[in-house]
Amino acid sequence: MRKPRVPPELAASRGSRALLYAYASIIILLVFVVGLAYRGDLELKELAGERRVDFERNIAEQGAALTRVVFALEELLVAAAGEGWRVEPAPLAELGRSLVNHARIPMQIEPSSLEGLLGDDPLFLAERLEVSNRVYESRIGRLESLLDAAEAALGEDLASGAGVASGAALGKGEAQGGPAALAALEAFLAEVRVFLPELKERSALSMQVAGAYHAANRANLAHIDEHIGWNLVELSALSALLVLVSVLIIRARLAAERELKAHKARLEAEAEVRNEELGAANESLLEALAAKDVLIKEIHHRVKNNLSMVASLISLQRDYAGPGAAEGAFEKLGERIQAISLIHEKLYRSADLSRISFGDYAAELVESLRSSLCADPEAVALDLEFEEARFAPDLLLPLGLVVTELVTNSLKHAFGKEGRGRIRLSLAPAGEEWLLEVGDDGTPPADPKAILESSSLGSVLVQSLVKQVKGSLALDLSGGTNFAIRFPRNPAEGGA
Amino acid sequence: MREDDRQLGRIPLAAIGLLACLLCALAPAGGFAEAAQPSPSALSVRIAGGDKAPLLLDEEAIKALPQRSFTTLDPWDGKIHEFSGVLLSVLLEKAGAPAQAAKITVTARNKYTIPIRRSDCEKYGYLLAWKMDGRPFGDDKATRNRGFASIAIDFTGRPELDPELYKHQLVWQVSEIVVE
Repeated sequence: MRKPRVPPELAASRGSRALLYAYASIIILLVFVVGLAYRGDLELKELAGERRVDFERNIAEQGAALTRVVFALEELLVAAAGEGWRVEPAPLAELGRSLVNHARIPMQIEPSSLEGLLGDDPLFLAERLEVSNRVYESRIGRLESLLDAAEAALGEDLASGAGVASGAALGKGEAQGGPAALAALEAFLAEVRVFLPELKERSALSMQVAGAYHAANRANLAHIDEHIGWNLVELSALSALLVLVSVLIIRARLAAERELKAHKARLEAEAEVRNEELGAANESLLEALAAKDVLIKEIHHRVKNNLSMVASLISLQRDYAGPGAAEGAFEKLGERIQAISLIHEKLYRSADLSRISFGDYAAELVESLRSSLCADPEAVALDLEFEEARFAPDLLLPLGLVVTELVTNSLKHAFGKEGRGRIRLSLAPAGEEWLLEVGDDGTPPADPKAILESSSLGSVLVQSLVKQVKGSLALDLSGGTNFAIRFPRNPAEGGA
Repeated sequence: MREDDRQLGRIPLAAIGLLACLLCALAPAGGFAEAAQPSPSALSVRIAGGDKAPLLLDEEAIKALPQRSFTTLDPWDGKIHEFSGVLLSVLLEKAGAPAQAAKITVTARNKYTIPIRRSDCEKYGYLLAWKMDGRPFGDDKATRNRGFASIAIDFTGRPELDPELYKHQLVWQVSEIVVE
């Protein structure tokens, strides 16, 4: 009924382990993926930080450049106003050119570059930067053209001899250029005076832009940090959830396994109880069987004793009857009863109550007949040859009576007065039949026919008994008297 | 006064900062000195584009208005201080600023100018402060450069106000407030 397969509890635990491994793999994979994302976030943050630093440095540099310009211009104005024109016009023009070039740097801050960075722009930076850029550009343009004009005038003055050669009158309180150059430089310086407060405002503006950028970046970085934090929270929550689910599933599976084991144990216990009950029943059956055997043996024993008692009574009756025809009759009757009695004795002595060995029985029967019928039993030799065969009492009884009749006949009539001779008895299989031969080597009867066709009790009995076993009888008188009885070989009877 | 002068002489240039430098530079240029400029211990609140005369407020007038104070970070020295003074919104109301005016411009004595949203003034309680840690500005060298009054913003509990940006509205030596 049961096919060989993996025991269910083992299969279940294998399944749980596989599930556990699967969940562990998923969690590791998840950690790996989120770890990658986290690394990406960190890189993004680093990049944002670098950009911030770059931009802030850029703006700070611009602020510093503006401050330098402011200080240089102030020095220029102080020199022009306080000390008079004691500096050479050419270096003055050169200084002016350098200042203008420096002042150009902050123009690089374009409002569009700050788009999305200023947020809600509480300092109005975009608007102010745009205005400032416009004013600043026109101012620088004007300063440049004034400077160009001053330089041109200076060149003309020097060429026409109106100016003094470079360095000749330094510190003498005299102007170094001609009137045209001086006038042009005055105009340039007047423009510088107007430019100065604008430049200061510009400087402050660039610092404010840097502040706005810094604030925006800080918010951005805070946002990235928050994002990273949420990622970690999500990862933790997800992992915890997975672990929880795994634990729940594995617990459920383990519970199922336990249930299965308990069920199996219950079934085994039930089977055990049933086996015990069956064993007990078998035992009582065996006891009953043994009791029955004892009973049957006891019956056979009593039958045998009763038959022996009957035989003894017949023997007593024979002695009482005295010599005559009746003596022989009683003797024969006694021998026949003895043959039956022997069967019962064999039965109660044998282990198998249903079958008796023909050889054992026949040998004892013939021996008993010889002892009781021969004056000198030693004078008659017995030639016995049996194939092993065990027959049921139904078959054995007629066979035993046949043997009794024929052997008695031989012992009484074949060996004459000396009583010396040989009795042959054999049983052998012959094809589908058994062949029972009974004979002697004595003098055969004068008229063979008389034997078979005699109406004597012995003859009638033998023929009747042979018919009872569905057999046939044959007589052979060569070298003595030999009977051959063939009877069918019933497979149930057993055999050689 | 002599004592104050001596202290002033000892103030390092770095401590005075860019504002002071620019302020000094104004003197020789001369072009910015205006006749209508209030005295160092007074300021004006003006409505732009109107015929209305500016509201001139001296120390006494400001001290007479309702006073408020809060404790917060000062981004310029990185420390926590208590600032006391008058709410800007109170000043604007007193000057008769129209409801639709959305922007004010605060100018320092050195012409440093910065715009402020009026909504921010109301929302965050911008203060025209004249006392720090219970002492009027100028009582010691640490507050001398703040002038008679300066703007203060309460940063405490307001992460949306990044001090790095809003510190530019903390104008020292306030001389004029223009409502636009």
